[in-house]
Amino acid sequence: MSKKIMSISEVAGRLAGDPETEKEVEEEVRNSRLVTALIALRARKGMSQKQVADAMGCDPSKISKMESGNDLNLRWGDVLAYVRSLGINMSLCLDDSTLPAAVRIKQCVMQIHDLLQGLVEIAKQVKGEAEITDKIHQFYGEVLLNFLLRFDSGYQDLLSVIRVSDSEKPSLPAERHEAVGAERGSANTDRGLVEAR
Amino acid sequence: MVPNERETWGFSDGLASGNQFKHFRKKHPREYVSCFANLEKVRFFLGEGHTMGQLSLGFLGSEGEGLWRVGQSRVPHAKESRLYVFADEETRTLHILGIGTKETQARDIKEAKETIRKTFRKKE
Repeated sequence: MSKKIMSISEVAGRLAGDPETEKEVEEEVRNSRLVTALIALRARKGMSQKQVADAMGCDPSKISKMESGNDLNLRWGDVLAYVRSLGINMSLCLDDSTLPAAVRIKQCVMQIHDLLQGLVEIAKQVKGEAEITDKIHQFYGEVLLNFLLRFDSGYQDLLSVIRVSDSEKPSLPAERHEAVGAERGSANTDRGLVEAR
Repeated sequence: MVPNERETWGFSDGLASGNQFKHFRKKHPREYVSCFANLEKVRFFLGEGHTMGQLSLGFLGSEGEGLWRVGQSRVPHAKESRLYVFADEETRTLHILGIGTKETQARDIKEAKETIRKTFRKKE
C-alpha cells in the first residue's frame, strides 16, 4: 500500500495529475481555516448543529451552510453568534502588514502582555480555593520560566536579524535572574530554568 | 503497526484510480476542489479525537460498510459530487477510493465497497 500523505493539496494534485489543482486546493483550505476551527470547537463541546442552531435562534440549515462553506462566505454577526452559543469568548487580532517591522514587533509583545493579563482574570474566578490556587502558582511558575526562556530565545533570534547597539539592549528578566544567581554564588541558575520545562 | 495516539491523520491514494480522478477534475474542476477541501475538514475533525460516526456535517454521509462520501459544498450550480473514502483507525489513514457524480454513484459505491472488502476486511 502507498505511503501516507500528510497534505490534502498534494494528494488532490497527484490524483488530478495537475500542479494547478494542488494550488487551488491549498488556497481553498487556507480560506477555510476559520470554518474548520468553528467545527472543531463545536465538536469539542459535543454539540450538534441543531443544538448550536437552537442556542443561536436559527434553523439548523444555517449552521450546516456555515460549516460547509469557506471563510469568505461567513458573516461576521453569524460567527459571533456561533461562538457565543458555544460559550466561547473571541478575541480579534489585527496585523497591519504596512507598518514598520519594529512597530509590529512591539504590537506582538503588547499582545503577549494582554494575554498575561487575561490569566489574572481567570485567576480571580478561583480565588480562595487553596488547591487550585496552589496549582496555579506551580503552573504559572513553570509557564513563566518557559516563557522567559522562549522570550530570550526569540529576542536572540531577533538580534540575529536586526542590529541593536549594546546601549539599546534591554536587560532581560532571564539575564537579571542569572546575574542575581551569579552574585549569590549559584553554580548554575540556568539549570533551574531547564528543569522547570 | 502499533497505533500511535499522537500520530496525525493522513491520506493514501494507493487504492484510487488516477484516470477516474483526472477525468473528474477535467469535467468538474470546482467540485473537485470543494470535495478535497471538505475532506481536509474531516481530517482535522478526526485529528481532534473524534470518529467518523460522530461527525455531523452536511457534506459527509455514510454509505455503510465503512465507506463514507464527502460531497462538494457552496459551489454555485454544482454537479452533485461524491468523493469516497475509508477511514482506517488503526493507521489513522483516510484512504481515497473514488470520485463521481450522483449519476455514477451506484457503480462507484459498489466498487469502493469491493475494494474495502478485499483490502481491509480480509485482515480481520
